[in-house]
Order: sequence, then C-alpha cells, then structure tokens
Amino acid sequence: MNREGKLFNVISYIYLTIAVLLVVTPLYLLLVVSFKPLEDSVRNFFAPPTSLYLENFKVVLSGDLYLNSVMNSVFVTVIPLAAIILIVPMCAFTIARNMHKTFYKWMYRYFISSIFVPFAVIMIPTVILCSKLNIMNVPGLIIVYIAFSINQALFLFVGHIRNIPRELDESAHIDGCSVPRLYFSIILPLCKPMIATVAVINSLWYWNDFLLPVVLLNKSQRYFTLALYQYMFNDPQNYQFNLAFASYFLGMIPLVVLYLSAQKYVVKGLTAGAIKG
Amino acid sequence: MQLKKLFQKDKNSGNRLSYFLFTTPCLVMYTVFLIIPIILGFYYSFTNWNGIAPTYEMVGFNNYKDQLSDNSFHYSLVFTLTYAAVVVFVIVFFSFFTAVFLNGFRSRLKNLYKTLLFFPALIAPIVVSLIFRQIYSGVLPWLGKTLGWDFLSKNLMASMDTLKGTIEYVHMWYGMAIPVVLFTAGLQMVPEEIYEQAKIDGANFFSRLWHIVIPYMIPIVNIVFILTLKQCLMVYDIIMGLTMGGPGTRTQTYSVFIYRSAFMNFRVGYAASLSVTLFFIMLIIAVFQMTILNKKDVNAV
Repeated sequence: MNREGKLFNVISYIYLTIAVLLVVTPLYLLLVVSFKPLEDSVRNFFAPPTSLYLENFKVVLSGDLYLNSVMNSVFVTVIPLAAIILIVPMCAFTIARNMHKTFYKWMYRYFISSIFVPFAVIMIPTVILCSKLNIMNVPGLIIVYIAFSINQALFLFVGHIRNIPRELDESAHIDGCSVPRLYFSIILPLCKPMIATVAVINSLWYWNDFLLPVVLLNKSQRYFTLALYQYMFNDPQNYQFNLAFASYFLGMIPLVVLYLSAQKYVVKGLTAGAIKG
Repeated sequence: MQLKKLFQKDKNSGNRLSYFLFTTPCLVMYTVFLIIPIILGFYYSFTNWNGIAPTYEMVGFNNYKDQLSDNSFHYSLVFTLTYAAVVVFVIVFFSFFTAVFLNGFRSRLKNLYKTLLFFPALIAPIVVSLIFRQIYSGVLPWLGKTLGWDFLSKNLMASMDTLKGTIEYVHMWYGMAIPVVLFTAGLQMVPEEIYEQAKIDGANFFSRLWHIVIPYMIPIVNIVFILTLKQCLMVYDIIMGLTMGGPGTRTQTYSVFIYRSAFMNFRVGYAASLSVTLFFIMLIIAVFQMTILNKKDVNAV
C-alpha cells in the first residue's frame, strides 16, 4: 500500500470506530440493563451483569397483555406478507406480460401513481373508512397493510418479471401449458429472490410500525401490537426501565435473527426498494 | 353476454379469464383501501367536517385560508422544516462518508462494522426513542456526576437550548443505517477503470472523490434525500416517545399537529387540508432538488 492508502486506512479506522461506538453504546446498554436488577443499573449503568439475572424477562413475559400483543404483532406481520406474496406476483406477471396493451399499461400506471403520496394524506380518510366498515381492529390493520404495500411490491415484481425471458413462456405454451400453470410452476419459482426482498422490506415496516397501530387499534388494549404495548406501558411517573428495556430486547430478537440469517437479501432488498423513493 | 364470452373454452378467452382472476384481488384492495382514501383526503379538505357528525358542509378553500392565520400551523411547520433541514443534511453527508470509508476499509473488522452499523434499522423508532429518553434522563446525568462533568449532569431534554438537538440526534442515530447501505451499494457502481486511471494520472483522493465518485452518487443522493425528507416531515414516533410534543406544544411537529387536529380537536376537514399542504410542500422540494442535483449527474437517469 502506498502512503495515501495507509493514511486513508488510518482515518477510516478512527472514523468508523467512533461511528460504531456511537451506534453500539445504546445497544450495549439495552443488553446489560435487561439482565440486571434495577438497583444495579442505577448504581452503574454500564457495568456488565454479575450473574445471569432473568427476573426482568420473567416479569415482562407474565405481563397481562404482553403475549397477546406479541401474537397481534405476529399476525399483522405474517398475514399481510403471505397475502402480498400470494396476490402481487400474479398481478405483476399479468401486467409484465401484457405491457404492450394499452389497458395493462394504464393499469400499471394506476398502481404506480400513488407511490409518492405521503402517508399523512391517507391517514385520516383511512381511519374514517375503517371505522365506517367497523374494522378498527387487527384484521382491519392487516387489510390496510396489504393495500398500502401493493404499489411498491408490484413495481418491484413487474421489474423482475420483465427480465425473465419470454421464450420460457412461449415454449411452455407450445407444450400446451395453460397460463395458470405457466405462472405457478415456472414464473413464480423464478421470483424467489424478489419474494425474499419484498418480505424483508415489508416485515421491517409491519413489525416496527407505530403510527398505523396508534390510529387504528386504540379501541381496546387487546388489539395492541407489540410496539403499541411497549409505548402504552411506559408511565413516566412509575417507569421501571429495567423491565421496559427487557421488553425492547425481546421485541428486537425476531428482526435481528431475520437480519443475521438473510443479510444478503436485506441489503439487496433495501437497494431495490429504495428506487421507488 | 360478456360473462358467457369470458367462459368460452377457446384459448384466448381462457387466458383472459386467468388474467382477470390474477389482477382482481390487487385491483380491488388497492382501489378500496388506498385510492379511495386518497381521493377522500383531498375531498375532506374542502369541508368543515368534525369526523363524527353525520352532516358537514363544503367550505371551499376556507380551511386553506385558516392555515394562513393559524399560529400553531406556522410554529409546527417551521419547527418541522428546520428539523428536517438539519437531519437531512447530516444524514446525507455522514452516511456518504461512512460508506466511502467502509468501502475502502482494509481490515478484518470491515464486515463486523458493516453489520453493527445496520442494527439501528432493526429497532422500532418508537422503541429507539424510549431507549434514548432513558439515556438522556438517566444514563447521561449519571455519567456526568460520576465523571464530574457539569454539562452532562443535567437532563439535556429539560433545557430548551438542547431539547431540539436531542431529538435530532435520535433521528440521526437510527436514520443513518439504511442510507449507509444504499451508498455502499452505490459505490460499487463507480467504474474501477476510471478511478484507477485517475489515480495513475496523479489525481489526489479529494479530486477523485469530487470528480468521479460524487457524480456517480447523484441518483443515490436523490434517493436518500427524498427518503429522509419524507421521514422527517412525517416524524411522529420519536416525538411521541421523547417529548409527546411538549413542553406545551414546543416540539409539536407537523404530523403530531395533524394527528391532534383530527383526532383530539375533531377538525377533520382542517387536518385533511394540512395533509394536502404537506403533500405539496414535499412535491415542491422534491422537484426543486431533483432539478438542481441532476445537473451534476453523469448518467442523467
């Protein structure tokens, strides 16, 4: 390495280490505070736990509605994901293969047109619509998540399917393969990378979302998702942060596992998903 | 008649039926729960509806006229715009440099650092802000007392001078993760040959950065800018987690203001007009920014 390269590496080393420390310190606190009794944390926030102390987690898990809210979060993440993966690729396939027809070209534009509309414009009418339809509950939130995810997912799938060579369709057609069979046994399996991508982008959103649960699920505590539960049960007057931190720690685990096991797709997914702006 | 045609066994209409079945679920969901709400949002902004009463009147542009004389509107808009200016600038600037350093970093720590830097994106913003509230009110004062540093021993969120900065910092902390990934991916698009050639020709690090790397990064800058701007103008979670808009309404951002107008003051029509205004503000900034930045763009995509 030449002198410039060495200098660059030293500066990178210093800069990145500071950046990583800034990012990691709150996460470190989250970890150690979750595993310590309250008094220990107050005495010294940063000291590692002296023994394997699991009392915080026990208290959190025995909380009245905690597991209920975890289940709600699982529902509002898994069901919309499954629905999106079921309905969007088939619609994208139809559009991608018929793009030369005016009707489908306009259908595509119709789907894409809403991508730039900020959520604020949709929020109030959505709440009113849901309350009129009497779906201010978990199924209602699931429906809203599905509807709000279609434009971006469709955009990504259409782009992906247009890159699958049409010769595949034609040879399948000559062999007497019907359109549904062509889709389910040839096109859909080829969409796997994009399915992973869409799954990652959307699960980050569904699992961590706060605003939509606040406006749609405030009718009963039984409807709370995890994020809402964590927020509603932090009374500032009587805030036991060791318990709170333990519940944050538990809430992070699913996405951390997802991220560490599918890091490649996360990076690809974010890059592809960002194009939508 | 139509239906009969659709179900005829000949090859083409068989396709048509499956295409119909393939597109209907998406079309219905999307139209009913997204397009109709958008249209209703614009429509409500011309009414005086309170969200509950069965009737309301059309009031033309009155809601928009009311905005002009509403102090809470001015305050929250200015607060949000200045907030967004700081956060967007810092995030674009530092995530770009973080990516440049990560990209050229020769060390075994590289992958570990990359992984760790992404972690904030995995935590719910509401949870991030609750963690930081504890850090500001508990951990930092404790640290200040232990180390004998006076400026830290007070709660930084208790003083109006530092309050806004503490909120902005939380946003930067979690908002930087995804832009770093985007810039890192973008840096792969810079053609190796041009970069190496410039090196041989004796261009130093900064002129290579300015003349070669940055032009290729313009599309990513656009994306990061718009994504972060959208996030900042709609910031809700971390305000609710840190201050709930307080003290009083001193940290009431635009989206908190919309939320309160609609669901606490029951001025749905007015709140809808606020959202439409936000839509146009975002549109203007986005168009303006694209026109400026695209002048430096090499591929002009």
